[in-house]
Amino acid sequence: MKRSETDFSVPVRQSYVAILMIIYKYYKIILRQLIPIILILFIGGKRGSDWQTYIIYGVIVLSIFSMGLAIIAYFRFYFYISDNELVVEKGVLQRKKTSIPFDRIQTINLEQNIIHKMFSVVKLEIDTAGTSKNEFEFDALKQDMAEDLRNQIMDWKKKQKKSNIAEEASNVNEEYKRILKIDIPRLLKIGITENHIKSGVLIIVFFFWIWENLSQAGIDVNEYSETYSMRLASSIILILAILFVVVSLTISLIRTILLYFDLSFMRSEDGFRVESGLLTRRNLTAKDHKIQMLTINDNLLKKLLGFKVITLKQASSVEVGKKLSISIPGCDDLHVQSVLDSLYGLEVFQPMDISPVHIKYFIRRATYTAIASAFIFVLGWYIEIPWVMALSVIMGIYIIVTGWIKYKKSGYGINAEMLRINGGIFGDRSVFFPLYKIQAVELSQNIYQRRHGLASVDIFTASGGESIPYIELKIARKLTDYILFRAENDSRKWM
Amino acid sequence: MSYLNPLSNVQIDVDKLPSLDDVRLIPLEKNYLKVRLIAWLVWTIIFVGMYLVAYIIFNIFTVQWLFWSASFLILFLILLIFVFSYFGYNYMFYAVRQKDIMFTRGLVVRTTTVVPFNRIQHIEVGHGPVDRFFGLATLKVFTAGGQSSDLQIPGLSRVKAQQLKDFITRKAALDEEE
Repeated sequence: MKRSETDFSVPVRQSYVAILMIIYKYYKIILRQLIPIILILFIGGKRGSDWQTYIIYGVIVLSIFSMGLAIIAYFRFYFYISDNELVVEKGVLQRKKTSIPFDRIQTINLEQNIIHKMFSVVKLEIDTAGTSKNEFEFDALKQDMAEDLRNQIMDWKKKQKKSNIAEEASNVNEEYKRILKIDIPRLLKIGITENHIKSGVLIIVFFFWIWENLSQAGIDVNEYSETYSMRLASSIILILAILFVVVSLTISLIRTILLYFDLSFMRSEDGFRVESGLLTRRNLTAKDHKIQMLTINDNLLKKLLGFKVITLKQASSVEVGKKLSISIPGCDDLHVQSVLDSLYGLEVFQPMDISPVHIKYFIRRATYTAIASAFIFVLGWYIEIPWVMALSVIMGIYIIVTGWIKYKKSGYGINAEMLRINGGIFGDRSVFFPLYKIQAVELSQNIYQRRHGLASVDIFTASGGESIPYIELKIARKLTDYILFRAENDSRKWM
Repeated sequence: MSYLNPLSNVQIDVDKLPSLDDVRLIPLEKNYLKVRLIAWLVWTIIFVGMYLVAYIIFNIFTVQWLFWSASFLILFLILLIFVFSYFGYNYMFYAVRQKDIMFTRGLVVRTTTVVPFNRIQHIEVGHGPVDRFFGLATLKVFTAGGQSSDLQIPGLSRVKAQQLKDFITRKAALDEEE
C-alpha cells in the first residue's frame, strides 16, 4: 500500500461526527414514537393551554438528555484489532465487549448520507457469518480510516484463503469488472417505467393517514369535504385522476433518482458490488455464496424499453429470516446474461426446457370466478343496483383474463444444477435457484388437485421461496425427489 | 454433453432416485387425538362462554336475526374445529429417511414437507401441559428458510421425540465434519 496505514492495534474512536449521527439516530427513534402526538399538537391543539408548555419543556429536557447520552455513548465507544479479531467496546451503563474474528466477517459495506458527505466520513457496516447478533455498525469513521480497516480485514481474508487453497498468484487487489453503469437518460427511463401503482398506493395511504390524524385532532374533515364535493362534484374525479397520475409519476421519479443515481454494478472475483444513490450513497456487496436465488422481472412499460430488474436475494447470516436483496433496475438482456454467466457459470446453459403448468390451474380459477361473479350479478339484479352488476361483470372478466395470462406465463424448467420458475401477469418474472441451496421442499394438493391427480410444489431457500402450481402429481413427485437428492448429496455449503 | 457441468458428470437416472412413493409413513401416537379433542373442548368452552356472556350480561340478542345468526355461527365454528381436530388427525404422518425428515398433514389441503438433515439449523423438543399429561412431545425442526419451511411434528411419544432429536443432531454433526 502506498498510503501509511492506520494502526488499529491501539484503541481508536470514531470521528467526532459520530456524535451527530448518534444524536440523529436517537431523535429519529424518539420522533417516530411521538409523531402522532406532535401532529395533533400542531394541527388541532388550542393555543396557550398549560399542557402544551409542559410538553415543550418535556421535549427540551428529552433532547438535552439524549444529547448527553449520545456524547457519553461516543466516548465510551472504541475499537481495535488484536489477534485477527475486531474488538469493539461500547455501552453507556453496561460495558459490552464484542469481538469479531476476521474469518467470520462476510462483507463490509460503506455508506454515505448527506451529513456524512459534508464531513467526508462514512458509515461502515460489518456483516458476519453465524446466527448470533454479531452484525456491526460504525456511525461515522473518517473515510480513509474506514477504507484502511476494510482493506486490512479483506487482505487478511484473502491471504488466508490463498494459503488454504494454495492457488496460483493473482492480483491482491480486488478487481472489479463493470457490468452496468446507469447514466441520466437511462435513469429517467427507469423512473418513468417504474410501477406507478405502487407509488400511487403509497400516496393514498399517506393521505388516509393524515386524514385519520386530522380527524383525531378534532378537525371536522367531513364537513369540509362535503362542501367541497358539492362544489366540485362533476370534476372532482377527473382532477383526482390527473393528480394521481402526476403525483405518482413524480414520486416514482424522485424515488428512482434518489436510489439509483449514478448506479454502477460491478462484478468481482466472487461477488457483485453495487454503488448508487444521490443523497445517500449506498455501497452494497453480494457475495456469490450468499446469494440464494436470483429474480429477473419487468412490467408492461419496462418491456417496451427492454428493461429488466435483476434482484439478488441473499441469505442473512445475522438473523435467520431477515432478507437482504439487492435490486438492479435498467438491465437489458446482455446484462442479464452476463450476470447469469458469472454467477452460475455454465450450469444455466444446460438445456432447460420450460414446461408449462396444467391447464386446470386456469380452469379452476376461471370456474370459481365465474360462479362468484354470477352470484354477485344476480344479487345486484335482485337489489336493483346497476353498478354492482356492472362491477361484478368487469371484475369477473378481469380476473379470468389475468388468470389466463398468468397460466400462459407460468412454467418451470430444471436441469442438473438449476431450477427455474416462471410467472407474472403484466410483466414476466423468472426465478433461478441453484438446487444445492434449497432448504426444504413442500408438496401439496387441495381437494381439486387430488381429484385431478395434480399437485403444487413449493421451494424454500434461505432468502424466500417460490411455488410451482398445478403440475401432474407424478411429475411433482419426481421433481421433489430430484431436488432433495441434489440438496442432500451436494457437499457444497449453501452459504 | 460432458462439458456442461464442471462439478459432477455422473449421469443420474431419475427413475432410480429414492422416491417419496416408497416411504412408509408412520402415524402419530393415539393419545395425540385426545390432546386434539381436549384443545377442541377448550375452544368450545371459550366460544360458549363468550356467547353466554353476550346473551346474559350484555343482553345483545334481543334482535331476532342477530340471535339466530350468532347461534348459527358459534355452532358452525365448534363443528368445524371438531371436524378438523378429529379427522385431521387421520392424515398426519411422519417419516425419517437416511438424509431427511418429512411430515404429512392436512384434511383439505394435503401437504408433505421434507427437510434435508444438512439444512437443519437446530432442533427442539417441546411439550405443553396437556402433552405432558399424555407423555407426548412436539419435535420442532428449524431451517434457514424461515417459518414457512420449518417443520413441526406433534404427537410423538416423549422418548421417540428425544431419540429423533439425538439421531438428527448426530447426522447433522457428521455432515458438518465432511
